[in-house]
Amino acid sequence: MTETLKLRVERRDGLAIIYTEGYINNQGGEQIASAAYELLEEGYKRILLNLVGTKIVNSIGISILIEIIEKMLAIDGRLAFCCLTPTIHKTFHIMGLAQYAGIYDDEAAAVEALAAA
Amino acid sequence: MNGDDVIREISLTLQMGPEMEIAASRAATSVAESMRMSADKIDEVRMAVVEACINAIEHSQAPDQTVYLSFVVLGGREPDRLEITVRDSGVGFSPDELKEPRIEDKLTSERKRGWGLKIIRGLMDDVDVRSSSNGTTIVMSKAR
Amino acid sequence: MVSASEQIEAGSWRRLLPLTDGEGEEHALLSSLLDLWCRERGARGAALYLDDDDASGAELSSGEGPFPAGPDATAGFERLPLPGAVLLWRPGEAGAPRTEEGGGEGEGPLSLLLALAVSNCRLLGRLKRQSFQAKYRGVELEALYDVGLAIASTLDLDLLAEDILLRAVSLLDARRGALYLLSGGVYRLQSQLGGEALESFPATAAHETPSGLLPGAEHLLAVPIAIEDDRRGILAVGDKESRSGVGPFSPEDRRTLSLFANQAAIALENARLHREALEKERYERDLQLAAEIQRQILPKGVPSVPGYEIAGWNRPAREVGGDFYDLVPVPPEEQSGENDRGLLLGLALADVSGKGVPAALMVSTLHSAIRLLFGRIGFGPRLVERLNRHILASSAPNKFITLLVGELDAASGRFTYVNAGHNPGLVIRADSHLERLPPGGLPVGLLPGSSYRSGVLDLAPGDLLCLYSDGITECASRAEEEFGEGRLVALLRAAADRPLPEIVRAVEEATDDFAAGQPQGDDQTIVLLRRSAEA
Repeated sequence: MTETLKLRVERRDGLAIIYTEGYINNQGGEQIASAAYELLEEGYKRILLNLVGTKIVNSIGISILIEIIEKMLAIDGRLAFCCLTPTIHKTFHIMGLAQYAGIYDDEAAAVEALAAA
Repeated sequence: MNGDDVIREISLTLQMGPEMEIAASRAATSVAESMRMSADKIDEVRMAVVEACINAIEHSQAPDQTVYLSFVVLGGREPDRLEITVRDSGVGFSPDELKEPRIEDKLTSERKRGWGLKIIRGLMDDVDVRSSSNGTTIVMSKAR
Repeated sequence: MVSASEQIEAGSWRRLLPLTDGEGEEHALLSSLLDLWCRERGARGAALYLDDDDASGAELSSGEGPFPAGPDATAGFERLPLPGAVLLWRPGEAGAPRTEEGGGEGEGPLSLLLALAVSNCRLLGRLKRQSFQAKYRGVELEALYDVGLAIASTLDLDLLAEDILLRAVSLLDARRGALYLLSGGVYRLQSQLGGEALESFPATAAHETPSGLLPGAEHLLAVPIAIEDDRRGILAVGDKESRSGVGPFSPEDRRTLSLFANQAAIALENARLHREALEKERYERDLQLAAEIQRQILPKGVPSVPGYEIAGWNRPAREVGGDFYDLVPVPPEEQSGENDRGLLLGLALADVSGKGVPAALMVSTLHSAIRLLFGRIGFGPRLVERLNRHILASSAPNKFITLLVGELDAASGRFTYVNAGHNPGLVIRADSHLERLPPGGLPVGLLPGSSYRSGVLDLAPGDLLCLYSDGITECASRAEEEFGEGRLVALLRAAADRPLPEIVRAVEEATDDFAAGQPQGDDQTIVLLRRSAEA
């Protein structure tokens, strides 16, 4: 199990995808935030977080994700998640992230939804 | 993911010698077990690898006295197939000219190499043999 | 005015007012108040510092910055009428800021307003944090519930251990963790996450956890996995995270982890029992499979070879044995030799070291190898050398096979054989003269590069060839005497002209009588071949 989070960013027309691999904890959350804020500065307003390579998220990581969501909503952007494990999916719902960010099973559905948002 | 992704790849370079095929066979067994091949298929794979190694040792006359092996596990979500390559840089032989061994043929070392291939073909699903004066490569595969 | 030398803990200076959740009105209010303060008091600039555990984010300041982490010669500070809130200011042209109307430092109306605004912000932050934590309790409960469910559904020990560890680490906001299972007095690492963990350590009387369990971790929390008082393992997590770094675990964390460990204990126990049951099942199935293999491998009938009688018999000592014999007719079209020799018959009799399942599996390998090579390589020492290599390559180092293998040229009666470490075959000639087929090499599977010598025997009409395994000659009586080759030879001589199946039965009865009810010690096998007397 990787200790440090690995990120891969894919830039598309009007939408950017951040792929995560590893533990989304304090460090991991900060990395995601950096990447997301950089994308915001480049002008992207639709960001998809594909958590396919992540099996574990802790509360610090979640709080950072919430911050990112708040920042994006403030500039009328949209954030979505896809490919979550069942545990993480449930956690996000309980923590209320689902109210402010779309959660999708697969990338294709998420991309489609974000494009329409 | 298509069904032909490389799930695992192991390469071995072995010096020809009496224990060489033992190491090759252990490696083959480990890889086959790791993809949960059934026990009788593992036996067949192992025999084929040993035969291929013995062939290389006895007939290749390779100056570097080395056999190159690779074990590749292919598949999609699950491992499907094991592909094994046994290569030497010896004198080669002509697999096309090699007829199905018959009693009429003389007992030459070329013909004996033919018998080894026949055994391998009987044990594995697909066998591809390429040989030239630069060496011989046998690629054989077996489904799980 | 307070001098720069007044004590404030160095650590508290680093805490800055959190603004990320204060976007909007609270932020704007504080900003305006700070601007006002600077203007009113004639300071060049001021910054607000808050001693708060969870503080992070941008600093709140006004006027000329940048502001240091603590008071220095160029800045003074003032405590606000609010615990843990401090204002740092830079003197204006006229020097230190004017004191406030209404009181000494930090008591005037402006200071009070600032304090009130800061207090608001802080309350808001705390409210948000509490709401977050309350929701997170929900996550914890769900996690415990799910682990409980996993007891019923996940019986795979590895997956279960990984799942439990994942949940424990994430719930406790730990950086890393490890799960150990106790077996044979040693705690062994079953699953690890986020960093290295000790592979194993011995259990002490008090079941202490070594402090270096998670190397490099600054803070460690470990709880026992136990059913009642019966220790089964250890669940450990390391380095609790907060926004600002790592820290120690709290008593609540210990309680949460213990709850997890309890659930884990039951789930793991179930998985362990299941695994044991599976293994037992697998063992029984292997036993059956090996018995099946052997039933299928041993020739069911005997091949028909004109001019000869053939018989074969095998009785394993347990359900599965290590003895093996084979009779392989090789018609001319399948032969590899130069000359047309008519029908050849391959014979093989082997004894695999050991008994039970492992021996039977070796037998299976031998059987395939013999069948494949026989007739293709041409009988002789080379075949046995080849077999030696195959067996060496396929079995455990300490397993070997004694083997007597031969090829009969039916037309001429010539029997060419190799005896690899097996007891000598016997030939009873028509005139009762005895000859043996002695060993010409080491057992197969013992040493690489072994060489073998072949022998030749010409069978004349009436000659009887007998290959046997030592389960017959080493059959022991009550008095611990062995049946021995002598008795076997005598029996064969006496029955020399009886039909082969009768001879086989005679050997069987003789050994049974000799053993007098004692359990059979080793597999018993016999192969008989007689060249028919000319009519």
